[in-house]
Amino acid sequence: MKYFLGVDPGWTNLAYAWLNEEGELLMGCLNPKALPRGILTPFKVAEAMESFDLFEDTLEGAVMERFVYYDGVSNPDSERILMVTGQLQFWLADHHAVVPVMIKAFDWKNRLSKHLYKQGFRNPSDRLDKKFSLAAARFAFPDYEFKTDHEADAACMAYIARLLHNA
Amino acid sequence: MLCSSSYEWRFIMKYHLGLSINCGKIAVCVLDENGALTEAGTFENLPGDTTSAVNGIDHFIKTNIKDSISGAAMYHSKSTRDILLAGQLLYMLRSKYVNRVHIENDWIRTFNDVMVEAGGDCLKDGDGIQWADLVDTCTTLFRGVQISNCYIPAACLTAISAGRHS
Repeated sequence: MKYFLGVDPGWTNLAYAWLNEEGELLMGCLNPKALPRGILTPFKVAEAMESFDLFEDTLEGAVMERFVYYDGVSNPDSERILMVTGQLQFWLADHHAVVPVMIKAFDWKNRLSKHLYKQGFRNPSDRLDKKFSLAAARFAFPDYEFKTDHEADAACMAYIARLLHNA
Repeated sequence: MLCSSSYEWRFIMKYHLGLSINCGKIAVCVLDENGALTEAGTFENLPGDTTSAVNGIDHFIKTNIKDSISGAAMYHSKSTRDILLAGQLLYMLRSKYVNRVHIENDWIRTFNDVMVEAGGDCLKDGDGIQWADLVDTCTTLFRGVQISNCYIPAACLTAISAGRHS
């Protein structure tokens, strides 16, 4: 079976969502800042996948949110978020032979919004904000609960990874 | 480093690995534990490929110095592209070769330290680092290195830092 990955990188909240072809999701949110010394973030993302029983399966695609400086200003966490993103990029290429598609938040939300609209989804917010993410994730995956908007974002990106693969 | 085998004591050379990331280029320098230059070169991503530079360095390490790295350090510029490359390198090095990678924030400070040890201090003079100082010092320190820009000297000086933090 094919499966897909969506990642919303962060320094205190890094969300991931593994999605298989049948629409089953496995989500989680990590705090890379609090990981013990010697534990690399990709190890923890991979660890979660192990319980998905995917040994015979292949990761077909991954989408990660591209970091954008807010108002063009960097802060101490900007560098750390980019470092973690770089780690995930190399891990995906090295372990799974997958080059993740990097998409800015506005771009993936805009694309998903248009796609889901055709299926009857209506954005409850007038922006592409957290409210949109949670509503879009619930619409795309009605059988799942999303604890945070980070997990919702990751699930939406996994959904897009599958869309891109099937396009 | 001396290691015992069944019949003899033999000398196993350990290496200090220095990496400098600037403008999408990764300069690599390997110094032996006596500080002599062993290898130096630059890697760059192929067009449309985001990981080929780090893959190239992985291959280089695997082929040449796999089990002999005693310290690793990296410097990176603050641009988005270079920090992403630094993250890739950090994961590759720590997951395969070393437990710790020292992040060198200021290779010019290391350069000045090296100059102070040699009797000069260009920062104290107020003149700052001059290109000629860098070429002269690095040509003397790292025999055989070709210096046409800052990339390789920065990697060599970061390799010195790797040795100091190992």
